[in-house]
Amino acid sequence: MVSASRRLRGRGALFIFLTTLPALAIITIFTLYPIAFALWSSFSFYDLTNPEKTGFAGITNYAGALQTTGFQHSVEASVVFVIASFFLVVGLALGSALLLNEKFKGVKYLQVIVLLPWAIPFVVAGLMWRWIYDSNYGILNFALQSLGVIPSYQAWLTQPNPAMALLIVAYAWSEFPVSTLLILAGLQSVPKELYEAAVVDGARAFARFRRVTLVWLKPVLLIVFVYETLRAITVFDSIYVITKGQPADATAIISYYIYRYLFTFYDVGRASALSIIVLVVSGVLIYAYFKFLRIGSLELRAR
Amino acid sequence: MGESERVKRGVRTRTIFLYLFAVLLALWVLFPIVWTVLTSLRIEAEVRTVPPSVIPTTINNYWLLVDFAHASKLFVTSAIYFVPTIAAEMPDALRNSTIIGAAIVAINLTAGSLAAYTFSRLKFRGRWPLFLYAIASRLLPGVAVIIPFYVIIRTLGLLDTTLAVFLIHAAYTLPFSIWVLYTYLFTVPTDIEESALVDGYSRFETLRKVVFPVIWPGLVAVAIFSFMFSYNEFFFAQLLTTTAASHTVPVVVAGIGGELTTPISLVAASGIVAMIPPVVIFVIFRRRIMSGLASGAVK
Repeated sequence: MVSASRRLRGRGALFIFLTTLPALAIITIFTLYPIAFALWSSFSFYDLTNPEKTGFAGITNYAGALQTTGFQHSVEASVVFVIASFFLVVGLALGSALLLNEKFKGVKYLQVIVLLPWAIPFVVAGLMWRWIYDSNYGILNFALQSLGVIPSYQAWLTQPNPAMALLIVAYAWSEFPVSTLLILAGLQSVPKELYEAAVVDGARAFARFRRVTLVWLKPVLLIVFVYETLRAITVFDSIYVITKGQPADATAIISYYIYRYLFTFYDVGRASALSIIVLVVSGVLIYAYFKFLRIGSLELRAR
Repeated sequence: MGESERVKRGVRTRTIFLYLFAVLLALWVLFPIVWTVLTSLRIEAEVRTVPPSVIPTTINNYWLLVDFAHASKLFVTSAIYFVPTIAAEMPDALRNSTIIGAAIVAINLTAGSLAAYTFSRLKFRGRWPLFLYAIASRLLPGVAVIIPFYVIIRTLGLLDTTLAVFLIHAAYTLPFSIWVLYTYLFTVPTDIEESALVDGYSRFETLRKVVFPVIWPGLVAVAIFSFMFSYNEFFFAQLLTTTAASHTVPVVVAGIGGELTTPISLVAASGIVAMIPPVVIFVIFRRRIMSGLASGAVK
């Protein structure tokens, strides 16, 4: 008896080991060392242009990073970008998902059409939009001039505010399908009885939406909020092909800013300190989402 | 006006609005794509006109991307715009990206689902911390880890290989897949699995014959999400690849579009070619994707 149960347990351990090892091995190689490296270098003198100076730097890198005007500008631009694109993407996704959840002729095709931007890499979509925004031959200029909105063609991407707005539009186009899909999947799992009960209770359309749909969607929306916030903070590809952070760094959102800082000054320590700051801010934001959104949805999850 | 009359009118107004929004949504999504297709089907001088004109005149741009060596001899004559040689890498890039994407799907469906199963079904010490560790690793911003990633890949001697791109995409997709399947497995009743185990099936047999057939919607979701991530990923691929041996589609398209002297019609054509593999996958697996996601795989 003893040996039998022992053998079973032994095989259980082997099974656990075999099934988790491949995934954990890959994740570990590309997680533990990189985090350790980023943390270590953020507290070290590690400037590739000044290799003699090494050793413990204390908070020098952090203090220096926070005082750089470029970093402060980038933080301002990032706050604008993250908030604006978050609302645009989530708004588009929620609206589209509600529409695609209705029954009408052709909705099946529309469901596939809406997924198309997801199938297009961000750099490809970015180049498409850059051509639409072109200052000499862009269709945007043509359309706006034809409508009488602007007197002559504009170089949109050389003006800070239009550049930011157009970057956000291009980013939102690529970004909204995934969240649309997530919300649509959530909508299609809402039990019909809940709506029927609400109708019996005499709830009007908007009240039904607020009391049934939104409450049921809370867990999905939590995922969408966390996902879209992280995506916006770490946006890179769109900027790389559309604005390159220009004009005058007005669109140098934080990840792009750090990347360019790293490959302009080769100060690894300082760049690591900047990344750790981004990591901490992302972590705090995610924690806040869970704190504020989780509580109300617990009873629903326990169905 | 009778009650039924009013209801009918309400329904009609609602239908009109539904279709209005449907058309607006379709226009918003399709316009950039259609415009790119139209741009790609013209020679450069015709693209750069005011007002823009749209009649298709040539498929030479596609010819260049398919058979660069031959096509470039025939019609690349413009002195103002020059065709970057990276355009010749498009067929290689399509092959690299598809192979990496397929391998990413395979590793997520095997290593990812096995780990998710063990985390959700087996009780063992350290399960919860290990699981949290596995999924939290996804939070690292890419820019924080490019140097260590580069160092690791160089140490392994894998610079400029598709294997390097695969490893990094695997590290980024596995946490998400484990999380999705772990969540999904909780919605699946365990009775059949248990009776299969009691009947003398081994754990692996149970997995193959009982668990996988039940969780296929979750597996579809995982497959499609991880393929799209890999096919789309530019940041690390750009850093780790240098030649046609490992260049992926986004890297080549960005390379073509990065030069201001590149004909914009060629950039447009490369963008259209880049979307072909994922769009084909969407069209083939449309039903599975939609039902897979709708059945709660992403809750």
